[in-house]
Amino acid sequence: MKKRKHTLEIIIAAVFLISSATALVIHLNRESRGVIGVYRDGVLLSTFTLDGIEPLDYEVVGENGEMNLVHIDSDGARMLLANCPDKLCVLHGKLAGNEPIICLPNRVVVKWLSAAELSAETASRTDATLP
Amino acid sequence: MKRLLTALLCILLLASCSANNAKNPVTREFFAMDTVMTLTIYSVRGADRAQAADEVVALVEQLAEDILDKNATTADEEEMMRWATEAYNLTDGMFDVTLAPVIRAWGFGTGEYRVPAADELQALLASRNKDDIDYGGIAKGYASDLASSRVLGGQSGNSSIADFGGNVCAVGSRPDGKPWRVAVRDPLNTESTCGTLELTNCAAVTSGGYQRNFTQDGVTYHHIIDPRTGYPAQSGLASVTVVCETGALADGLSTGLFVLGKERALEIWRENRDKFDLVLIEENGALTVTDGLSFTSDRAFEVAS
Repeated sequence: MKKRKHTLEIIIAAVFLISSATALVIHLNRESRGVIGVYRDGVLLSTFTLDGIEPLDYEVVGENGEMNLVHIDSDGARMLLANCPDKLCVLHGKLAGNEPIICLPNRVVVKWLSAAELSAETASRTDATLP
Repeated sequence: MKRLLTALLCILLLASCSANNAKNPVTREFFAMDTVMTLTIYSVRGADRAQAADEVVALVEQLAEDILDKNATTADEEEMMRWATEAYNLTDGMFDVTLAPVIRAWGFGTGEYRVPAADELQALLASRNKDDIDYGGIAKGYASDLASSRVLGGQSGNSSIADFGGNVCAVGSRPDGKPWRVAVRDPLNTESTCGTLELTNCAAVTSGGYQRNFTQDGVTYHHIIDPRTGYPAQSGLASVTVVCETGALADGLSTGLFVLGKERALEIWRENRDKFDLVLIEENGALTVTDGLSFTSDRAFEVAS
């Protein structure tokens, strides 16, 4: 009887541990899906936190007339328009999985920011500029 | 039992993680007091952020209107006069609200720029009086104080940053608890910045001759007038940034210390280091920062102590 009670305790604890571990994994995944970064020429132009975001279209313009229009809403992002020759970025559709949306001709990348990229961006960003 | 406790601890940890979600701030951009103003609110305890933002915009627009109509309420006027006087006293009289007619003669504020004759300036300087004063040199700073004291500040955990035409008012800190990062413009190359200040719960204001000026017959005249001469100040400084608790005082001090120049500005700082801190940029590009500030730059700078 005493041994059985012990087993039960182990099972309860195991269930708790497994469920919290699962919750943790889900949680961490969601965190990394929280912020989208738009890059041109490898430079992070802007970040968008999806939690509570109003749908918007973000325009990326290059020096030689390159143009990409990124649509961002609470579900994620997609390339709405691009004046590149192949339009692969537009055909990519929604930003899903870990596959970034890449417009090779215009050198534009739309991707989820990893926790490390996000903290580096936050640390170096300025909140205001004195004129 | 121990294991159960461990499991519960895990759950508690998870709950605390998810409270960290950084939300997009509520932002407003509006035009008042001849300048673009921006407001970024991350949190206001016990209030709706959008509502708080609207309140701040209404507050500033009302103050701007009152000042323009010379209709400011006695309380606002008294408070502005109090800070203007403090700035006057701290800058050997170089920040002076009675300079209004001289500044008008140059066309600053009206946009009708001209170089007044020397005797005209002397006459205007001699006839200065308390009936013709202009709170323009302190109004934006005062507006940021109002926004902070009436709406945005007051409670720990509040987090917002306002930029009222170069009068930055940092309430609390960033939502992650780290200080706000505010860049200082390079006055010699206004496309770029020359360093970053880390600020918590304070105001920061920059005055520089590059901000408003006009050129006539090859000479550039800027808007910071030396009360001793009536002409634009030539102190060797290109810009002065003042960091202090009160926006109105920072606003007035940055103007007055610009007129006085580096040496006197640092002397005054040494006597009042509990009140404010400075970033001084000279016309030759030399950068001096007082030791109360947390400042980073990719160029060399001197720390005054």
